[in-house]
Amino acid sequence: MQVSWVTWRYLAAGCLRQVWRFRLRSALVICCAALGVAGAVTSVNYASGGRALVLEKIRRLGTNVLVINAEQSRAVAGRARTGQIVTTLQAGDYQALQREVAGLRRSSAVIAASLRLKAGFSSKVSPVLGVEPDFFRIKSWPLAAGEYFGAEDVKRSVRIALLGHGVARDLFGGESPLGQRLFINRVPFEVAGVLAERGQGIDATNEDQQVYVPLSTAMRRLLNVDHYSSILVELGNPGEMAGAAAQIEELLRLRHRISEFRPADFKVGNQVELIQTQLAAANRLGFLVRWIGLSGLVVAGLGVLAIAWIAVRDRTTEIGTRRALGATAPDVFFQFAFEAMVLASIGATLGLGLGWIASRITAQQAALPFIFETGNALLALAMALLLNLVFASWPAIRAARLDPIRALKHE
Amino acid sequence: MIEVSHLARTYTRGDGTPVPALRDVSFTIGKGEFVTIRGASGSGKSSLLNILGCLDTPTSGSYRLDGEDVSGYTDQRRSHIRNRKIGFVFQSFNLLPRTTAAENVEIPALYTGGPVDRERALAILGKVGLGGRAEHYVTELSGGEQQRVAIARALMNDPPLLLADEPTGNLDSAAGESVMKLLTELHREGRTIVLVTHDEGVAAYAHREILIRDGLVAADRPQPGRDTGGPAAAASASGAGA
Ligand SMILES: Nc1ncnc2c1ncn2[C@@H]1O[C@H](COP(=O)(O)OP(=O)(O)O)[C@@H](O)[C@H]1O
Ligand SMILES: [Mg+2]
Repeated sequence: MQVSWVTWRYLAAGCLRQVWRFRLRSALVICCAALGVAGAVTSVNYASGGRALVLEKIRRLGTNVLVINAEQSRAVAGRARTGQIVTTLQAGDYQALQREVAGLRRSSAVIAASLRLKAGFSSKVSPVLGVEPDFFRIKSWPLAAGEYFGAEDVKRSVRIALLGHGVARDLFGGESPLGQRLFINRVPFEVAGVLAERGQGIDATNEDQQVYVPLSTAMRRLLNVDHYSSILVELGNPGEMAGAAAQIEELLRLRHRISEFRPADFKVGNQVELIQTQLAAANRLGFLVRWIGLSGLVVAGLGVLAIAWIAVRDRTTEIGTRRALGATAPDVFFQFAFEAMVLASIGATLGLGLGWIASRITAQQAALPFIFETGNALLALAMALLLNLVFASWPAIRAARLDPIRALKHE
Repeated sequence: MIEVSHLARTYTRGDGTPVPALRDVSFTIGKGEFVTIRGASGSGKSSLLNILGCLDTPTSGSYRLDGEDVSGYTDQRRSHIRNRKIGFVFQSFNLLPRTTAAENVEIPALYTGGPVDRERALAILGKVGLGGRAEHYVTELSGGEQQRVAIARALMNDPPLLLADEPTGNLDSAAGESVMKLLTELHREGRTIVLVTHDEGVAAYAHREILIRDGLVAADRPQPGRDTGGPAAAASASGAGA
């Protein structure tokens, strides 16, 4: 069964000539292999982008943040009217929390309302949030321009505002909003800064479409209320989340005189659950996508197989002729396997490049971070080559096993 | 050169019934002979030529080529013998389409293990009268020219034995005549030629004719031959007697 190296060298040169001879078929094989690899690479990268987005949201949100929302006690439907504003989350509750919750590192009370914004000739209705300076630290939210407001601004109820990225764009277009005048419910504010773009949050609110003002300014000058919509609490250690949540629950029930058997007028949420759901979904998608990618490679391999099979059938007379002229069965196997492998390798390598481009485009279209997983891409390439070797070998073996006499008679 | 004795070849049809194509064939062909194997269609000529060409092995009987008993050789060894010792010419030329004449001629050299000698391919093409057509695609050539490319290809590895199965079967009479003249010339240079045909006119070019009927040798007789003289005439006489 040995064929000398010199023979193979000349056969290889001959094979490349055959690749050119059957260039349409060769192009098809290249496309097949390329699309398989490109598909696998793109889908895996897409899933990785999705996962990275979730992880980024988690990082921004913090796994150690609890949110206490003032909430309608819906279970007592007879008494509580829906849409009614709950006013029971108040300064006393907040101070008690700050005093008593073990491991509390930062906190911010929040009051939120939808108000009309006006700047120059632009106008729109947006959620306006009164927050404390720590709000932005809890959210790990950097500024795109300008400055944050500080504790002093909250204390003096200064009329300054930080704009979400989307609001800044909608109201001021390309102009810099810094130092500009903004009317919120006809009250004049000065724009102190613009926050960095954040995109859709994990809880589906779009924080870029909100305006942030000092807490006391919102409560006294805009809304004239003395309750909060919610309180954000950041703990020093994520391990204390469950304990802290239980402690807050107990404390507020006690303060609001709600026995543990009745529905409360607040809800302590930690976003870990939400995060875990999303992360699990992202991981499931990643798993699914790997299988889809693999089946894409198999389908591409089958395409290569089919074309190689047709090639062997169409070239039966040629095989018989080559056998008559002295080609051994291994020579014929080598010729067909080598031809297919050269094409599949070219295709698979092109597929890597194509996958890179497609990953960029899909990431852009889906607003996901662009991730190119080199390890996975090389794995896809290696798998493609292995699969194509197996798939191309089959018709090549068939070609090698053809009876020369029958092959010659074949028309 | 060739010694076959009590050669038989029985095919098995798809349904298992045996088809005896050759029953009991014995003859000897000496070096430098020009022999035609003639017979009706289905008489077993191609079956015999396939065995002589080491494409097939006999069901029974022996075949000695150049003194070697090749009837039991493996596929691999027979491939090497075909490559070095035998040149094939087919009825339907069997040139690779979308390939130039020169590339076709080079094919046997691909399987020798040595370098492919392009100069030699061009020289042989010149010798068969196609010096100007080396870079033409074979589909651009006429039937007679294609068959001459095929003959050039058969000569690429300089084999002592040329086998041709109805080489003029697909040609008009003028082209057929030019091909036969070329074969006659090759014979005059000392090559052994065995040619299968059912055409008496073609058989008349050779010095000896083996008539096959129903898988048996019906007659084995000398022919006058159209090229008189040369080394072949003597070889023919001694071969027939051996
Ligand atoms: N592969 C095969 N299987 C079965 N029968 C065959 C096969 N090849 C040839 N035959 C039969 O053997 C006989 C001789 O065929 P062949 O040698 O091709 O004759 P010729 O070349 O003289 O026309 C025919 O009857 C043919 O049908
Ligand atoms: Mg025949």
